[in-house]
Amino acid sequence: MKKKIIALFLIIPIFLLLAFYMEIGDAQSPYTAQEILVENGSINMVAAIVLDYRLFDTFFEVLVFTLAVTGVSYYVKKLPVVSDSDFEKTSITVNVFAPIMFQMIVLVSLYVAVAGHIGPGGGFAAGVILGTGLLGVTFVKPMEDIEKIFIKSKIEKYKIITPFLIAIYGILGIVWGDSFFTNIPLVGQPGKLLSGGAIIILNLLIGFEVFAGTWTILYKFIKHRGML
Amino acid sequence: MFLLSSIFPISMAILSYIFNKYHKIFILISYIGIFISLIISKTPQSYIPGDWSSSNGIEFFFDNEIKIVLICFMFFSAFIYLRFFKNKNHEFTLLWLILNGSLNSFFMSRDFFNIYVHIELISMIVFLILAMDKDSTRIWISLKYMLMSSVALNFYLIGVGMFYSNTGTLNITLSLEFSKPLFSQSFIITGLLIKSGVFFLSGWLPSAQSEASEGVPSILSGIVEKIGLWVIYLIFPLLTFEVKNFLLYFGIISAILSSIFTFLQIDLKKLLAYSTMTQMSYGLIIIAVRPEFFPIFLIYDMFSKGILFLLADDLNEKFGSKNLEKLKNVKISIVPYIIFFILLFNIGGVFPSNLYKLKSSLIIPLIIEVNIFIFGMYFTKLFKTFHISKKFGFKYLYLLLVTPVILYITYIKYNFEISKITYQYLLFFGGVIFYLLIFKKIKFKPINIYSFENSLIYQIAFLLIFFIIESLSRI
Amino acid sequence: MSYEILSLLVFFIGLFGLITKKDMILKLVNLGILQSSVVLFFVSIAFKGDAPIIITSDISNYSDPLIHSFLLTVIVIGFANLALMLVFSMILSNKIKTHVVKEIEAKIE
Repeated sequence: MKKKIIALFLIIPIFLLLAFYMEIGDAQSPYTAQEILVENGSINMVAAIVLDYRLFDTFFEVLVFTLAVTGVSYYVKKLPVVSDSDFEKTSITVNVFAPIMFQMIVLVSLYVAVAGHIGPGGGFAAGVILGTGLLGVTFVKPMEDIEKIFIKSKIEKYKIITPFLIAIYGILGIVWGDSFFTNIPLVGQPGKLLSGGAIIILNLLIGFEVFAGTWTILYKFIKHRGML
Repeated sequence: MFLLSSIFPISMAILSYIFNKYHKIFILISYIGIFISLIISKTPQSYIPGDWSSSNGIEFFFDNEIKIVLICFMFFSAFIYLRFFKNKNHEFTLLWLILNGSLNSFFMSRDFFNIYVHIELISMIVFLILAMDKDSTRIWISLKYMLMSSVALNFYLIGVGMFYSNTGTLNITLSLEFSKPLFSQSFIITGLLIKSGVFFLSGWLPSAQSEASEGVPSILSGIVEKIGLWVIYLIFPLLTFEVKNFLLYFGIISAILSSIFTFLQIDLKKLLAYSTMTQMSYGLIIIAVRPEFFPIFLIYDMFSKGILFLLADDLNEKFGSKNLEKLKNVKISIVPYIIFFILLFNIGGVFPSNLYKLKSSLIIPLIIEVNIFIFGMYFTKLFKTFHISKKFGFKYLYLLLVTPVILYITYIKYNFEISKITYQYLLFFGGVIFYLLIFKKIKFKPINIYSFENSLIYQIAFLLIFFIIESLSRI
Repeated sequence: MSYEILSLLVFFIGLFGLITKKDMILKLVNLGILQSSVVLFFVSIAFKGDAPIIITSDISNYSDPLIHSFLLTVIVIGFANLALMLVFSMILSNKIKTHVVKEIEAKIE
C-alpha cells in the first residue's frame, strides 16, 4: 500500500505539469512527394524511406530481431517439453478449415511482400502474416510432424543469412553509385511493378527473415509450454 | 571507408556462425580488417550512406579524437578476448563480433534515431552475454536490466519526439538553431542517465557487475556504460544553461554519496561496482564543465577499470570467494599486488594520477575533495586485507609495462600547485588515520537499497525534480 | 494537442502498473501498454489532416512519412524484447516455482 501512495504522489504532479505546460510544434519532415517520385519511383512513401533513404537503420533492426530469435531458441532448451496427450482435441471445423486457410494465407503474404511499394504493406507485415498462419496448421497436425518439418528445413541456419545479404548489397553500392547502400538506378514508372530500384528484393528478404523468426518464437513457446 | 570498420565485423560474425569449425579465424580477420579501415581513413570527414543530402539521410562523422578512441577500444577488446573468452563456442563469437562492429559505428553516428537503434542492439547483446551459462541468479539480473533499459529507452523516445516536432529533422547538427520545447530535455537526459550508471538511478548496476561471470564486468564497466554519457556529450551544445548547472550539482552529490556506499561494502566486486558509479559521476562533471576532455577520460577509465576487474576476477577464481572477511590475509604475488594498488590510487584523484590532472583544470566547488577523505578510508581497508607473498607472478608482467604508459602520460598540462597537493595529501592521510582508529568499532553489514520496485521509484522522483527545475526557468 | 496528452496519460497508467503490480507477467503486460502508448504519441504528432501516404495525383495534406518509417522499427524492437523477457521469466518460474517478484528476490539474494 505504501508503494502505491508514493508512486501516485510522484506520477500525478508529473502528468499535471505535462498537461498544462507541454508545447508541441508542428514541423514537417523534408521529404516531399515530388522528390520521392523522381529519385526513387515508388508511390509508397514509407517504403521509400525505410528501404532507400534510411536503409542503415533497417539493417541494424533486422540484426536485433535475428539476435533475439537466436537467443530465444538458445535459452528455451532448458525448459521441459510438453507431451502431446495434454492437448484437448480441436473441433471438426478447425480440422477441415485450417489447411485450406493456410494456402490462402501464403498467397496473401506473398502479395503483400511483393507489392510493398505500390500499396501499403512491405516485408514486416508479410512475415508476420505467414508466421502466424503457419501456427494455425500446428493446431491440426500432431507435434512430431511439425518437429520434423522444423528440423528438416534447417531454418535455424538459413534465417541468419538475411543480414549478411543486406550487408553485401550495401557494400556493392559502390559499384553502381558513389557510396555504400546506394539504390540500383532502376527508377522505372511509378505505379508499375518494376519501379523503385531494389525494393522488391529487399522486401522479400525481410519477409523471409521475419517469417522465420516469428514462427520459431511461437512454435517454441507452444512446444515447451503447451496450449490451453 | 571508415564505415567498413562496422559492416565488416558484422559480416564476418554471420559467416563464423554458419561455418562453426573455423570461427576463430574469422575473429582474427575482423580485427585486422577493423585496424586497416581505421588507419587509412582520412580525417575529418562526414559521410552519408546513399549519397543523399544531410537532412534526408543518416550522417556519420569521423575525426581524430574518434580515431584514437576507436583504436584504443580495439586493443582493449582484443586483450579482454584473449584473456577470458578464448575457449567459448561459436555462438559467443557471433555476439562478440557484432558487439565490436556496432560499437564502432555508434561512436560515428550523428542522428537521433540511429543512436537509439545502436543502443538497442548493444543492450540486446549484453543481455544475452550476461546470462549465457543459464544460472538462475544471472537470469534474474539480466531480466532486471532488461526491464529498466526498456523503460529508459522509452523515455528517450518521447523526448526525441517532442524535440522533432519543433525541428523537423533527426540530425543532431542541424537541430542546433531551433528552440527547444519545454520538457524534452528532461526526458532525453533521464533516459540516458539510467543507462549509464550514475548513483541514484541505476538500480541494475551493483548486482549486474558483481554477479556476472568472469570477463563480463570488464567489458560492461569499460565501454558499455559509457555510451549513455557519450550521447550526452554529443547533444551538449543543445542544452540550456540551467540544465547544465543542474547536471554539475547532481554529479557532485552523486559522486560523494556513491563514495560513502563504496566504503560500506564487504564484497570485493560490489566495492568495485560502486566505485564505477563514482567514476561515472566524475564523467558527468567533466562533461558539464569542459566537454573537450571527455574522450581522454573515456580512454583512461576504460583501461583502469577493465584491468581492476580482471585482477578481481583472478582473485575470485584463485581463492574461491569475493567476501573481504573470508579473503583476510590471503597472499597475492608481487606484480599483481603492485598493479592493483597503483590502479586503485589512480582512481582516487590525488597527485600523480590522471584524474588529478583532469580535475585541476576544471573549476568546480571544493566540496568534491571530501571524496579523497573517503578514498583514504577504503584504500586502507583493502590494504589491510591483502598481503604480499614471495612469488613473483610472471604472467602479469605485461600489465606492469603497459600501466604507466597508458595511465600517467597525457598531453594535458597540469598545474603544479603545492597548496592543492598538500591539502589533498592531508585529507588522504586523515582518512587513513580515521579508519585505523575506528575500524574495530564498526560492523559492516550489507545494505541493499536497490530492490526492483524501489529503483523505479527513484527514477520517477528524479524525473519530477528535473521537470520542476526546467519549468522554473521558463515560467 | 489533446491527443498527445491522452497518449501520455496511457503512458503513465502503464508506468504505475509496472511499479505496483506484484506478479512478473502482469508487469510485462504493463510494459506492453507503455510501448503502445509511445507509438500512439508519435502517430498523433504525425497526423495532419488527410491521412494517406500513398502518392496519388492530387495530394496536399499528407501525414509525416518519416515518423511512420521509424515506428516500424520501434514496434519490431519492442516485440523482440518482450519475447526474450517472457522466455527468461519462464525459465525462472520453472526453477523457483513462483512469479512474484518479492519471493524471487528473497530466494536469490
